[in-house]
Amino acid sequence: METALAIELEGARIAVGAVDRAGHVHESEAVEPNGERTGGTYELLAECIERVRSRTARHGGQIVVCGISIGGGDDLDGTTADGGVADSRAADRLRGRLSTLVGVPVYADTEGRGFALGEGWVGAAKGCNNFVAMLVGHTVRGGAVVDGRLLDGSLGAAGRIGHVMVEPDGRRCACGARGCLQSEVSIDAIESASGRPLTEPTYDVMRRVGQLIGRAGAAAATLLDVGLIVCGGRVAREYASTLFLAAQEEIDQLCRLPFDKGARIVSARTPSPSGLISAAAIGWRGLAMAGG
Amino acid sequence: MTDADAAGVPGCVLAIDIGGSKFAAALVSPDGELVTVHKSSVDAGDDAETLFATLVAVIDRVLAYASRVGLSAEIVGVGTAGPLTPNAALVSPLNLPGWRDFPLRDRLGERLGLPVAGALDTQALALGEGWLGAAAGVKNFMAMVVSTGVGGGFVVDGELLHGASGNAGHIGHFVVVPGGRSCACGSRGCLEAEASGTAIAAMTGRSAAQAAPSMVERTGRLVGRAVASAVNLLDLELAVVAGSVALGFGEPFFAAAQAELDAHCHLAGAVRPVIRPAGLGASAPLIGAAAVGWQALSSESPDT
Repeated sequence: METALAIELEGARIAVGAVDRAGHVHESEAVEPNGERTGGTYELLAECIERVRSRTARHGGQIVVCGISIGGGDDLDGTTADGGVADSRAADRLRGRLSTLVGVPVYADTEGRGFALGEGWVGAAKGCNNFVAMLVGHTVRGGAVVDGRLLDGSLGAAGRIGHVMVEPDGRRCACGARGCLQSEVSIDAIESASGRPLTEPTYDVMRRVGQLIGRAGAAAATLLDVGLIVCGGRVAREYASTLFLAAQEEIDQLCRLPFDKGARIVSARTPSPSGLISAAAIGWRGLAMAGG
Repeated sequence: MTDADAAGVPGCVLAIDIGGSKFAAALVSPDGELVTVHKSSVDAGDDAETLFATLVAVIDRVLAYASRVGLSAEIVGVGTAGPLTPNAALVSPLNLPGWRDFPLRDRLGERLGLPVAGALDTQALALGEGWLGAAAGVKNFMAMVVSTGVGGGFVVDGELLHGASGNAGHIGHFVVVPGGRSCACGSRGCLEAEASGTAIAAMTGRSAAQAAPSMVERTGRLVGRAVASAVNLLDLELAVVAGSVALGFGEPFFAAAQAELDAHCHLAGAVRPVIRPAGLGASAPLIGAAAVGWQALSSESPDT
């Protein structure tokens, strides 16, 4: 059975798995390198990959592609000037090393764009040709699928809904602008604006976060003519229905044209381990685009 | 198949522009030359069949000239005021109440015996600007109109975005002032409600042509604000702007819009996104409509 080697790099955590073309996860394991960056981390990853590969082979799986979902910091999607470039290069180097190690094509993308691919594959947007997906956590990342394809844009960073402006003259964002969705609803923004930990919000804080997420979702729905917004990530999970209700109310307020009326925001539904499914989706997409 | 096709000479596109106050049609050559153009003003109060008859009369004049000079069209490209359903199957131009869900695509196809491809006028603008205008050679850009209304179209990865119902590009309804002025769409603070010619006239009591410098600057800033969010969302490198308000305001408008873009767009490694005037002037709608036709031809029959 053809299988994708899926790798999820998320800050201090590394997960590796084997995922088939239907989105079923056959093998998975995770490691947490303790603090060691570069060298030690790569060795751990390589060992992890070896174990997953040998188990996959034993069960008759054939690895034909490798997909990497890159999360963690705020770097790869280029929101910080120097870090963005440096980290993209680091990702390129990693891709090169892994491609030698595993001997199949390796494709990497951000966790936000991978999340969109995963949701469209086996999640809340399954079968939907037009949607935007966002992950709200320490950053706000996303991907936009329009006319059936994940949009790339000039640097391959399209889908950056975290940097859609929701509050003119709002809080200063890591990107340098003001009032970006990310600078208003990321975990750090919520904690510093409310003076409370993420997990102890007031009702008003949850409503406000939902409203601003809805505002960005409405903007995407109107600009791109997509009827579906999928929202996942730690903030969405913590504030759950209170957030989604407020977000939907804002969308209903703002989307009143014949084509965007009725746009919906829904919770992510990619089954666990969703990060590995996202990574596999990145791999399968890369293979398909290369003509495989 | 026409004789021109048989001889290996590419045919032309019959380009049609459906505006709120006039219809125009042209025969457009494969290199974007407008071989012949005819126009007719329309009465917004006309019923559906009268409007269609007006359109047919314009088209017939174009085709009569074409046959005299031995040219023919191989596809019809339509750019129309919105909203619409995909490929302009049904059109409902806001300023033409006689057409509500009018089956434009089928009616033109029956009448002309040619395939018909359609898009929003602002999407057509984007294709036209990408073909022969200020966005030529650029793969990720947007085109927009700032006139009595505000609209746009996006090209990402070299392809026009259509969206679920064919209406992608409605940047006029991006909220630039949360809780701001009421918009005709029912929402508040939309770019169109804050920066269109109609909005400027309502706010100042004068036409946009007589707007004070502070209003020109404000309009540029708000347009830049909406463009910045689209640029960030879609990873674009260029916005080209057409329309009487934007082009009438000129340099101070574009400087204010660029300053706002610079303040909001900091994508590492990116070329600094630029906002500049569109390049096709008055022929933009028809060249855009022709581009809609060409695109349909190239995507539906990649072998030819």
